[in-house]
Amino acid sequence: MSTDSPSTLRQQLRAAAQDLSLQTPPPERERAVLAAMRRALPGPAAPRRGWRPLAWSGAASCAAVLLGSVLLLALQPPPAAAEDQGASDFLPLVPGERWERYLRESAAQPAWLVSTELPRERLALLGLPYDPARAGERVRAELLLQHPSGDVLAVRFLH
Amino acid sequence: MMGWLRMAGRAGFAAAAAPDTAALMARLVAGDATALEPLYRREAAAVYRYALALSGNNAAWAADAMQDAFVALAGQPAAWDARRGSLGAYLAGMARHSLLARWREAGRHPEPPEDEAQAPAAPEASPEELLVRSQSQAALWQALQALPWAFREALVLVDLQERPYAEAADIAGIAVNTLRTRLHRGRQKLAALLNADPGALP
Repeated sequence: MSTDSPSTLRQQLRAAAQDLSLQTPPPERERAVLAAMRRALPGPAAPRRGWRPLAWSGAASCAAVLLGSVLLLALQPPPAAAEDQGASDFLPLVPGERWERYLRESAAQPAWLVSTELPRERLALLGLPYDPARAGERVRAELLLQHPSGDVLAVRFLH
Repeated sequence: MMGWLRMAGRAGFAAAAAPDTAALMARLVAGDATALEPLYRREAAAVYRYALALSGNNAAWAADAMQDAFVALAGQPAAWDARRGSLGAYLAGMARHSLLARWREAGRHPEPPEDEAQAPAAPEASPEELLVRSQSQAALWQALQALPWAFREALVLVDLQERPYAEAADIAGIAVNTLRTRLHRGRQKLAALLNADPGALP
């Protein structure tokens, strides 16, 4: 801490603010925090085995999502998706109503395209073909984010 | 007055999330663990400083509160809504909850007095001792720690971390006018504890 001798409260607080701005978290804590965060991060749903009714309901849900996505995508082509080689179409991750509104107003509502890598298991959750033997692999994807909320509107996968 | 306003209004913390923060959070929501480290590096220092000042320079408590905030974020990344404030403010709010819980566990009473009429007891020291103590930063931290939680929090958020009033009020969970009142009274009480010149106060 500083050894200055400010005479007014304002000066003392400014000096304290300056000292505070130099403080950093203990370096040894960083590893512990990151490890705890990784443990806390919700992982993709594990595939259920041996419970046939639930498995079928999951498959039906995936098929319904896929069918809904195809129908929505058929209404209007997603922005810039069709032109890109090696990329899937955008799969909406928001309710159909909101996705349709975005498609209608996309010219007035800018969005960001963010590249990332996702666990391959995410494919199954979106109703896409999924090989459990390759669950540990990651797949390149692009997220469509609405501006300025940052909400994820849709995802597409790169081959 | 203008000096305080300049300090309070300095744009150290944007109300809206920067695009890259939103992008990192989107990756986190999608389950991308590689977004954890850049988010931590981006926000950890500010959260730690807030908790450090609020805990009265207690580094262990501050680090624990910071860790609690980040773990909570990782556990429910979708709970953060960019429209309701910056990620830094969101994390500070969670660190606040952690610190407050620990404070209560320690048997202390962080709630401010409703009437706020009772002034803190004057330090039992000679005028010479008071003068020497008031000239050190240690005295300031000690005096801050002696303030009721609500007053200390207002001073930490606005005067020490230079957050905008709206963001500070959001973190503390109070109205901006309440924050202003607590800030004003907190400064007066702090000046009394430090025997400092209150002339510069608004």
